Amino acid sequence: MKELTGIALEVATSGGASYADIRISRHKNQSISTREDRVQNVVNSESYGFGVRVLVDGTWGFAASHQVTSDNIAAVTRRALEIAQANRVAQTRPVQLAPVKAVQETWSSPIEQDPFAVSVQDKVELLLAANAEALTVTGVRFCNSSMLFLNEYKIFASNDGSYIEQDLYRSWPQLTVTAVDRAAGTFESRSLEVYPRGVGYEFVTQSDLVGRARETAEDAVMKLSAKSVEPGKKTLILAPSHLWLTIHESVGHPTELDRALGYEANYAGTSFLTLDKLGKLKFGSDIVNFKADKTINGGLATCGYDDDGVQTGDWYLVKDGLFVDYQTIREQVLWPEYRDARKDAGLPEVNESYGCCYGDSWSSIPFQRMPNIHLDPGPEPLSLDELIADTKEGIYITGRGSYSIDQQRYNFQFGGQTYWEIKNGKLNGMLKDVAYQANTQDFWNACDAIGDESSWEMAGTYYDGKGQPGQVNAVSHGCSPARFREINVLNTGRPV
Amino acid sequence: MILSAHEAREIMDRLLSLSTADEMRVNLSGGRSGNTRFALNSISTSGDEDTLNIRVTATFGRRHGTASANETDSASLEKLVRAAEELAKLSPEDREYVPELGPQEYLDINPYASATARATPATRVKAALSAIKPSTRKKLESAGFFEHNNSFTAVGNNKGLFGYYPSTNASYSVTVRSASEGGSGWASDNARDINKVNYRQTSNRAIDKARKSRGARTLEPGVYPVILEPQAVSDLISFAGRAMSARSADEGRSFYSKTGGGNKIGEQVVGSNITIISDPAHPELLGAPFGRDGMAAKKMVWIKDGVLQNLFYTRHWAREKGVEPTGFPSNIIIPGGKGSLSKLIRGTDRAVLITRLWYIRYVDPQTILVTGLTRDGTFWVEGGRVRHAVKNFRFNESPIALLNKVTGMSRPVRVGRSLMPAIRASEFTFSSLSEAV
Repeated sequence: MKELTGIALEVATSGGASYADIRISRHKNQSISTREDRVQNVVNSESYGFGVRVLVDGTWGFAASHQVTSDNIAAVTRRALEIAQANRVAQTRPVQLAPVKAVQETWSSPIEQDPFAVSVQDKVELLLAANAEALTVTGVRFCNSSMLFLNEYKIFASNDGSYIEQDLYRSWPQLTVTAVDRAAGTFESRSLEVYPRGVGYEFVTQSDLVGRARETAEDAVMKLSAKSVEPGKKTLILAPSHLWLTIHESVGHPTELDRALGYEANYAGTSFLTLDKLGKLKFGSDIVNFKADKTINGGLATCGYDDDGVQTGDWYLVKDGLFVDYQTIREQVLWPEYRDARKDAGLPEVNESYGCCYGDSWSSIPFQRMPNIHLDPGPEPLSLDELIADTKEGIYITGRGSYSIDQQRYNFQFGGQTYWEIKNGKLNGMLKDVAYQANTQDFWNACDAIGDESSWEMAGTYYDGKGQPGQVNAVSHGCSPARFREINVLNTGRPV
Repeated sequence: MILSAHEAREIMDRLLSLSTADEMRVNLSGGRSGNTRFALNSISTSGDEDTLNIRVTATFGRRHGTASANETDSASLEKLVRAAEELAKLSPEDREYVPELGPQEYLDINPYASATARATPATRVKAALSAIKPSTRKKLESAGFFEHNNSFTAVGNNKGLFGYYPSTNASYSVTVRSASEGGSGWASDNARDINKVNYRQTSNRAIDKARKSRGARTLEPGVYPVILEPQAVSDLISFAGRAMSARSADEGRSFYSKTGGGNKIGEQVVGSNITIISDPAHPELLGAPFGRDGMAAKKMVWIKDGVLQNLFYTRHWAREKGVEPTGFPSNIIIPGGKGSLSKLIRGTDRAVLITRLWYIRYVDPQTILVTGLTRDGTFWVEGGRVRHAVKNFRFNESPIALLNKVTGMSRPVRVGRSLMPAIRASEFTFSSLSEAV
């Protein structure tokens, strides 16, 4: 492989590139989907190829191909050079890269059991057993379950002298149950609150789909007859299975430095966290601390090195409620706007990237993508039960539901999987038709209690979308249950 | 990688000759795409990609499995066939199995333009400069994306089916912002033929909207008459389309389910001024002549004069219900009216004019209630004229409710791979203000 990567780097350097890298990668997916007592699809897919990135006079060029041969690597590298040269005429912000240490390293996801080595039969049996268990509950009509496994093996080499080999795994079992009341013409669905992880098949086993299928099914039936919510300002307690997505949308995206400057204005949007707010904006209450991280065991964005060849680490984005930093890649660290904003805020100078560069395929241009971002647990002992007991009236929300946020990540609306009324410190039955609206800053400043470390959980998604052409990024978010005061709750039940 | 029909058939024959399965289908697709992004009035990233996908579905009796890869050497092709066969043998019998299709007759559609296939990075730079230069002069900030692709799609099986078509597409979109003054404008254009993508006019429209949207005033959230521009119509209507699975309707878990059982085919579901069709051969769209299973695409009427005519029937569900399969349409057309958007505005007493919508998600699939936000050009129309910009809104609305309140439509224009008119509706629910620009 070193011979192949060397061809790209040599052709690029001799062609005038001040910087060049090549990623050669193989992406394997396995998807098994079932409904009720039937297997819908078993699909294995594999994609192999390479992408070359060159920097010529401060302008990027990129080209990629699925034909991994010496001659084609040279030809594709020349194409990347031509693209960079063609684009120089429209370049007014020449790219400069922050320094990085050259390394020769390997890194692998910490898997215990390779999901691709487990037999399809075993997987199918488990999914159908979970469906069968869910379908024993009266009122349940449909059940879908699936497993989706990803493996990304990639080699990164740059003319900085790095050669990095990484083998990343991700696993996701899913179960969704639907109950139908034909006479009333209504239906409700409930998904098991299991989210993907950057680990192996052991996560499927631990997720216990069969053991949890009945409860999931019973919830779906209960949702049909749940009481419709009374709208108004309410206290909310949000479970980690729900709050992770609110963190993703309202903390993860606005702290992307490319968005803050306007690089995503045409699609994903910009950010209300403009550079003048760095080190000054009271993002949340004093107990709110958000840490960005690419090292946690099982995190979906966890890896040893990013696609700039930068070693990963962790850092705070929000500290004691104050907005203190962004997510960065090599070319962003030297942006004068960022350096000036840090200086203006009295924050220490940063000279190295935080390691957030990622391209979702060999054919995708790497750019700044979200790391895992977590809410620190509260410092005092506080369990979920104690948090509910300490709340006179409110709603406890679990699971991922409807989610929408504006293009600057300020005004949002979220729903969940289940909603439970809280009365005098106790859960008092299920509610439905619930959604809450807030703006990011008001919401996080309304946070008055966060559970302790014992209730801290991690969830996440394979499908964080950004960029043109669109790319996905797998990312995890951990938190403990947290309480928010005076949040605007809507009733979404409405006839058409 | 671009394969000719002959080359595609050759790879298929090699794969099928390796098969030991009762049935085997091969789907091939690939091509070359080029793209350029710019932001802050400067090129940011740009790339060219060659791709290929080979997908093999093997069936033994009623057991099936699928594997895909992108390597074409003999060893890789053999590995791929064996992988699909192995998965099929390990899979349980599928009682919903539908046999592979035999030879099909396809509509004569040619969604290919040689000019698009010849496009270079320099073509894309010209488009970028059409926004960058005037934006810089006017102290505005532009960000945009130009993409073109030249691709092929082929399907074949061991029952004599073979289909192949080349296709091209080019698209340009641009957002121009005057962030400090609260202005943002967006516009886009796309076509099979890159020469028909009018990037200069598109850039100018975005610049004009950015300037006109400065100093947006606050309009309290509530229920207002609206004019949705074609992009906003497409954004919203797609949610009504995605829910049109006949099976979900028959199973009682869709808006199109009838209370007590069955579906709403034959019922009035939207206003009598609404008709929705799909037509793969429409000259302005030129869609795919066949679907993944090789079934021929055809013109379909989904809603006529507000009455639901059909839903999406897979081959399996059509067999269960004794009807003709429809497949999934490659485009949606709302014929709309005859006039322009400007004429629609001139005939409007008062309305919120919406350029496009953002981050739309289901809130209640039962009613297709969705939430989302307006973005990049929201204006107040009064007395037949655009009076001033208004701040963005979050909305909670159903496309079905919207289509029951339509009071006027423009002639349709191409939006992505569909044809959409601008639509004026008497009521639209804005639930909160968004400060986002």
